[in-house]
Amino acid sequence: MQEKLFAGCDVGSTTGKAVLIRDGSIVGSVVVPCLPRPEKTAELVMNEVVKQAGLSSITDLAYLVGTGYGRMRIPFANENISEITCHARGASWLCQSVKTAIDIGGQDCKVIGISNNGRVREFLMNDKCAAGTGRFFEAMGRVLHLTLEEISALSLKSASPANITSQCSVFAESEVVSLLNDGVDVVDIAAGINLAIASRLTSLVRKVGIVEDVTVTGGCAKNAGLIKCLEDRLKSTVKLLPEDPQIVGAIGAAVLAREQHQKLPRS
Amino acid sequence: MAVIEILLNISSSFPNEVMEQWRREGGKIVGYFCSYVPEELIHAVGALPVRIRATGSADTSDGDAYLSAYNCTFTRHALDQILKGKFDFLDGIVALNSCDHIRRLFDIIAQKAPRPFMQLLNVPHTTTDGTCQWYLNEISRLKQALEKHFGVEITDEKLRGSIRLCNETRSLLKRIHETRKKPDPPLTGAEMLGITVAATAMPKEQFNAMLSRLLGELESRVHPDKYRARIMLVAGLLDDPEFLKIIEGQGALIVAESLCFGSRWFWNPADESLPPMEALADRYMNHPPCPRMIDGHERRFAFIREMMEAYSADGIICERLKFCDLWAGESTLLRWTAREAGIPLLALEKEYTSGGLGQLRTRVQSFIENMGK
Repeated sequence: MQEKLFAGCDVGSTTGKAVLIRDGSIVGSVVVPCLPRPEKTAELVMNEVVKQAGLSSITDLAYLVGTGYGRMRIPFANENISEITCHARGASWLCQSVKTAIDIGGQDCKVIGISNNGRVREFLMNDKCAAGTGRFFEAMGRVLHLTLEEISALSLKSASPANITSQCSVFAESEVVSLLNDGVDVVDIAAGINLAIASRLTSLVRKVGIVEDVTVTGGCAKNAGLIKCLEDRLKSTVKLLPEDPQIVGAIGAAVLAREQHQKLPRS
Repeated sequence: MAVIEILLNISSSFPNEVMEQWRREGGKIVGYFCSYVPEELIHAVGALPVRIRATGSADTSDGDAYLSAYNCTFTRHALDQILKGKFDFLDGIVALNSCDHIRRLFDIIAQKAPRPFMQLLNVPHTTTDGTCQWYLNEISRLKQALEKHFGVEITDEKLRGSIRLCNETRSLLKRIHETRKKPDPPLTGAEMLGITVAATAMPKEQFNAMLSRLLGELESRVHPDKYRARIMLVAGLLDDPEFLKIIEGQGALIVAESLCFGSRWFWNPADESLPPMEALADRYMNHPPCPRMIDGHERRFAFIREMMEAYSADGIICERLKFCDLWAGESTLLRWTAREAGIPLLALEKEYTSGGLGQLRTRVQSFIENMGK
C-alpha cells in the first residue's frame, strides 16, 4: 500500500508555497503570489498542489503543517510550526551536511544554525527593517526598472560594483537614484545592490557563527549574483540544494507533518 | 469586580483613577524613575510615591527635540509626556544616575519642565561597605530636601512606619509571586506584572488590603490556558503586560521573572531591627541588582538560577530596550553564562511601545520548538 500524503503549506509575506510528500519524496509543489488574505492564499496554493498530485480534495491529506507569517490563519492545517524550525528541517532533509541556513524571504531574513539531527541550534532574525530581504530588491528593481531576475543576471557581469553604503532600503533607494544620475552603469549598480545585502547578511551570519555547509533558502536564494557575493564575503561555498530554495520551508513543514502524524495515537 | 481586574485596570494608565482621587483630596504626589529610590522617604513625608511610566504614550515628537534617535525610547516617551504637560500632576520628581539616558532626561526636565521638587541622587555603581555609606549620605540628603520642601519632619517613628508598610507590600507581592511555583499557576506573567505595576502607582495601604484579598481569591483560581513551556523572564524597564501577553499567547507561560518592575524591586525587605536610615541603605544597596551595578552579574545570575529552579522554569527570555547600553552588556553576559550552564535562552529587543509583533511571535514559537516543548 502506498504511504499517505503529507503536506506543508508556507504562507509567507510575499508568496504562498505548498509541498506534498509521500514515501520520502516530493510529489507536488506549487508557489503562488500572495493574495491579500492569508486564508485565501493558503486555499489557492493547496488547491493547486492537490490538483497537481491528482487528488480530488484537501481532505485526502493525512496531515498538514502550516508555517510562515500566515501560519495562524491556514484554515485546514492540523498544526502550525514556526518557519525557523521548518527551514532548518527542510534544508537538513534535502542535504544532511547543511549546518547553517540563511533564509532570505520577502520581508525578513534569518540565519539558522542547524544541529546534526536537523533541529535548530540557534537562530537570529532581522528586525522590522526591510534591509536584506525581498522587499529591498523589489524597491531597487522599481528604481532601476529591472525584474529581480535581471538584477541577478546583470550583477554577475559587473567588473566594478558600485558602492552602496546604506543598508536601509529607503536611503539605498535614493543612493541608487544618485548613482543613476551620475551615469553609473546599471550593471555595476545591480552588483552594488547585491554586495550591500551580502555584507548585511554576513554580519548576521557571523553572529550565529559560520558552520559549514552553508546554504541559502527562501525566494531571494534564486539571485545568483547575491549568492556569489555571499560566497565572497563568507569565504565559504554556498551549498546549492537539489530543490527550489523557495519551497524549503514548505518542504520542512511537510517532513514535520509526517513526523507529527506518526506521533499521533493509533486508533 | 475581582481584585485582580481592579489592579490590572489601575496599572493600565498613568496617571490612574486612584492617583487622581488622591490629588482631588489634596494629597501630594512625587514621581520617581528607578528602583534605587527609597519610596519610604516620600511616604514618610506624607506624599504618594509613584514610579513614572509613559504608559499610553504613542508619540515622541516633542521629546525628540531634545533627545535623539539613539536614546532609549522610554526616556523619549517620558520626556514627551512631560513636555506635553501630562505629568503636571506631579509635585516632585526624584531620579538618580541610573544610566546616562535617565541622567540626560532629568537634566532636560529640570531645564524645560521642572516640577516644584526636583532631586537627583548620586548612587554608586558597586556594593561595598564604603559605597553603602555613600548611599546613606545621598538618601540623607534626599530626606532633608523632602523635609524642607514639604515642611514635614521625618521622625524615626514615621520612617519605621513607612518601612513596615513597604515591607508588607514586598512580602505580599512575594507570596503572590510564589503561587506560580505550582504546576498550574493561578496567574499569568502578564497578570503578575500588572499587579506589581499597580503597586508602584497607588497608596500602599490600599494596595496591601487588596493583595490580602487577592491571595484568598488565588487559592481557588486555576489558570485556564494550556502552556507548552515555563519561562523565566529577565529584563530591565518593562512595564507593559501586553508584551508579556504576546509571549504567553505562543504557549510560553512566564512563571518567574527578574524585572525592574518586578521581583528585583520587591524581593528583599528592609531590616526593621536596624536604625531606619541604615535599614534603607542596606535594603536598597542589596536588592537583586540592576545591571547599573557593575559588580552585580554573578549575583544577578545566581538570583536567576535559584528562581528558575524553584519555579521549574525551562528557559530564559531576556528582553532589552533598544539603545539601553546597560542591558546590551548584561544580555550578552547572560547569553554566555546561560550557554555555559546549558540553559536555553532567547534574547529579544524592543522599543518602549511594542511593535513588530509578527517577528516576536515567530521568535518565541521557534524558541519553544527548539526546547522540544
